Amino acid sequence: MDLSARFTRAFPAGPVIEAGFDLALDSFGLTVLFGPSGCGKTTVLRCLAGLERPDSGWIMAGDETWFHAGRNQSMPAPDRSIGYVFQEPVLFPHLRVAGNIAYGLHGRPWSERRARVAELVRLMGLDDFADRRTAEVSGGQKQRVALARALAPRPRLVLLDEPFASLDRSGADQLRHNLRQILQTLAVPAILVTHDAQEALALGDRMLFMEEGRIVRDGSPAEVLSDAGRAARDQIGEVVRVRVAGRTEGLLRLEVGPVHLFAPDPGSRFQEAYACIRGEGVSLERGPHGLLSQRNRLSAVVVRIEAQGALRRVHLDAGFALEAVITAWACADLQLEPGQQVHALIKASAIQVIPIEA
Amino acid sequence: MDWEAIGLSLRLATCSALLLAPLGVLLAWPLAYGCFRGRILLEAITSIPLVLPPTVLGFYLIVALGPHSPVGMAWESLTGTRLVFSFQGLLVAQVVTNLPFFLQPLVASLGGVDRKLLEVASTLGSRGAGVYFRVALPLAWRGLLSGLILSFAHAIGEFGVVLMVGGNLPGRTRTASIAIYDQVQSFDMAGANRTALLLLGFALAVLAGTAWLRARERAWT
Amino acid sequence: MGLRMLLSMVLGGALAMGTPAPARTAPVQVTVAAAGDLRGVLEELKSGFEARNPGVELRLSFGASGSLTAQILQGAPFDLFLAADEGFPEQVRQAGLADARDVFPYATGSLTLWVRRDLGLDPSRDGWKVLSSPGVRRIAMANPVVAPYGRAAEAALRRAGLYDGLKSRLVFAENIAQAAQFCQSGAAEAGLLSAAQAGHPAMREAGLAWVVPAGAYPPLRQGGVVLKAGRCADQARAFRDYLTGPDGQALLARHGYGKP
Repeated sequence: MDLSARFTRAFPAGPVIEAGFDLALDSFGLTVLFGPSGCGKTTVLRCLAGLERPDSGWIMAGDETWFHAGRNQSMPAPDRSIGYVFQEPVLFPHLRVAGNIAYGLHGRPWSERRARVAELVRLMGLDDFADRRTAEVSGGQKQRVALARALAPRPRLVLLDEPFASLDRSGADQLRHNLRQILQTLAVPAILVTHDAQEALALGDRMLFMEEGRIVRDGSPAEVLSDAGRAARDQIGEVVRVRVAGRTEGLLRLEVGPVHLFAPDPGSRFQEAYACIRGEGVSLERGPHGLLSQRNRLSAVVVRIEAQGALRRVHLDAGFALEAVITAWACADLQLEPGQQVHALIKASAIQVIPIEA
Repeated sequence: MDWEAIGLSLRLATCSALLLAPLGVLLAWPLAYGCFRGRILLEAITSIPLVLPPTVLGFYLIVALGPHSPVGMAWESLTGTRLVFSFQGLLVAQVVTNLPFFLQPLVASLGGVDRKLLEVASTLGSRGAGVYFRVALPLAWRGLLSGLILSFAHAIGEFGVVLMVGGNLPGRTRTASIAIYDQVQSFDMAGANRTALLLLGFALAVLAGTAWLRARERAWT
Repeated sequence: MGLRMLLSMVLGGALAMGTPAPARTAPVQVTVAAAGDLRGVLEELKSGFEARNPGVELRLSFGASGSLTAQILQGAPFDLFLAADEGFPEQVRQAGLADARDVFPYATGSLTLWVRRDLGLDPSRDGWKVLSSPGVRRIAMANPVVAPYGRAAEAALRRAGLYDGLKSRLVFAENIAQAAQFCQSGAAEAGLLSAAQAGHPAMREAGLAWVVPAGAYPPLRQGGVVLKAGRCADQARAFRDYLTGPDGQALLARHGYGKP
């Protein structure tokens, strides 16, 4: 059973937002809706939820018609079985934590409500807070409550609109760490909106990449990001899938095929990860070498050179795609040309390792 | 001290506030959240008693509730008594006259409720009535209380409409404000003074109460 | 939360207050609509009557005769109407709200000119001339449209040829009692009042009066009527009898009224 969405929504002053994708509703999957701010991601989510009405197209959830422009049908939000988590934790101030979580269970028998609330409180780690007023609870905890509230009525789909954006660093990290687990345990498919590529990589099974109102790529996060436009690449760098071969002194030894890389250990236990290498962290060497500070020295072949003002972006093949950003001056000094053999030197600290959650 | 008149004023104001509350809560809903064409008209109609002079209101109420009107005749056939010049007639007049005093603070308070809270409620399965009664209204309780206090206080002080629709019948329609008028015309200045002081004290208490409410509201946000 | 409790206590207290519905053993209440000039004398008549008839209580409502007539025509539930003329009771009878035999005269009123004491004027000597004194800036009278005393005052002034000249200084009160109140409070320096009003201790203390000669205005024959809509017709008639009987008439005479 699938969610099938093909719709458009136009704003008088902006671009036309267009969405087209299918999504399985009968099994867990975390789909990331990714794109720069203002490209229409929130609009897509709100149309799916029934909080906004598209101008054309349809949205079908299995055999339920949630929206159909042609037949002038639109199922109101309360009837669609979705959970929605806003960017800020929008908790009901006149109810306590437990009351918030139980809100969507109105009309169910008292015992069922109590059991379900207890289940979610436990799952979210809110055991000490169930009786508190919403004002007495921290930002991270508030967002957990919002998530628990959205999940309590067992929705078929959960929509999360940048849920970590309003949290502080530790609150966001904690929740991000647990989110996939929680959703997987409850077996609820989810769509998560974010503009943070690291987040997308860490959490998503699938990525829908939006640019100026349209979904331009649909695939696994690593694939989509490596194809992605300049903006994403600038943010995150090249993305390589790696395996952890060993750990020493706070450094990881990563394997990419025959190549080894050293990178800082982010701390958690994992075997597989993505290594993100930004061009600014890569230097090039030609010819014989001395002792170097960089821990990573890789053989590479120059594929092509791109001019960027006073800089040159040198595209390399080191067994995987790599970029080096160096000055035009340095490029001329090294007399770099496509096809040449060079060594790529990467500072370990320039490699960001993103563990893949199991 | 004319305790009968004071008691009558209190009973009248209390009963009209109690009648006004459910009516007002229902009317506030489309006024605060409706988006239909007639909404502006509804707003205007419910605000009319604020701008009309009491004599005009009183006149129209007599015409509408008098023994020759459909409402008056229906009342008489049901109960055998006249609606005008009775406590019940005054009650109707007070509800009409005080409607805007109840509605305005409540509608303002409802408008101040964060729209996101209402959206969240709808994603959690609440339809219109659920959202209104389970989220919007509880969060607008200060406006509701304000409206109750204001309409109660206004009912205590109402003179022109009460005199026209109720007359000056002791024990039935002679409220405290009319009693003062009466006492002055009887040269009973001392009695008028006592009643007036009581009403003044009451008005001050009401103002203090609403000011306190507003201060609490600021502290809350 | 504290305010909610306080409010419910206040409301609860208020509901508990106020008059309960009259029980069977409570006195019979006769509602009387009376013209403003009767304010002082009717209280005394009420005490006298109630002393004679325990178990009956008179509830009095005062106003201009015309206003009270309008209310009665609108259905106001009075048992007895005492006007300041005979025309208004007649209107009530013609509207079918009373029987002809229940219409009765009860007194003759007289118009009085009153001026403030501190103006140094002597109305009993100078009569109308005191009104041309510069100290008399405002002259109170009842509204001629709704009050018979107002009509009489206008007639008297016109007779004396003074109405047009004084018009700008005339202040119309809603009824004769309010006119008296304007005078007593100082809002008006002079007034055309009923003899009963002018005879009130408060008025006698504040000013001097002159009874306008009877020929200057059409006689103020004051009449009353027992209303059909009332529920205490018998007790109303009993009061009418008291009023027109020797004790009532004596009281009325003491307040400046003549025989009907």
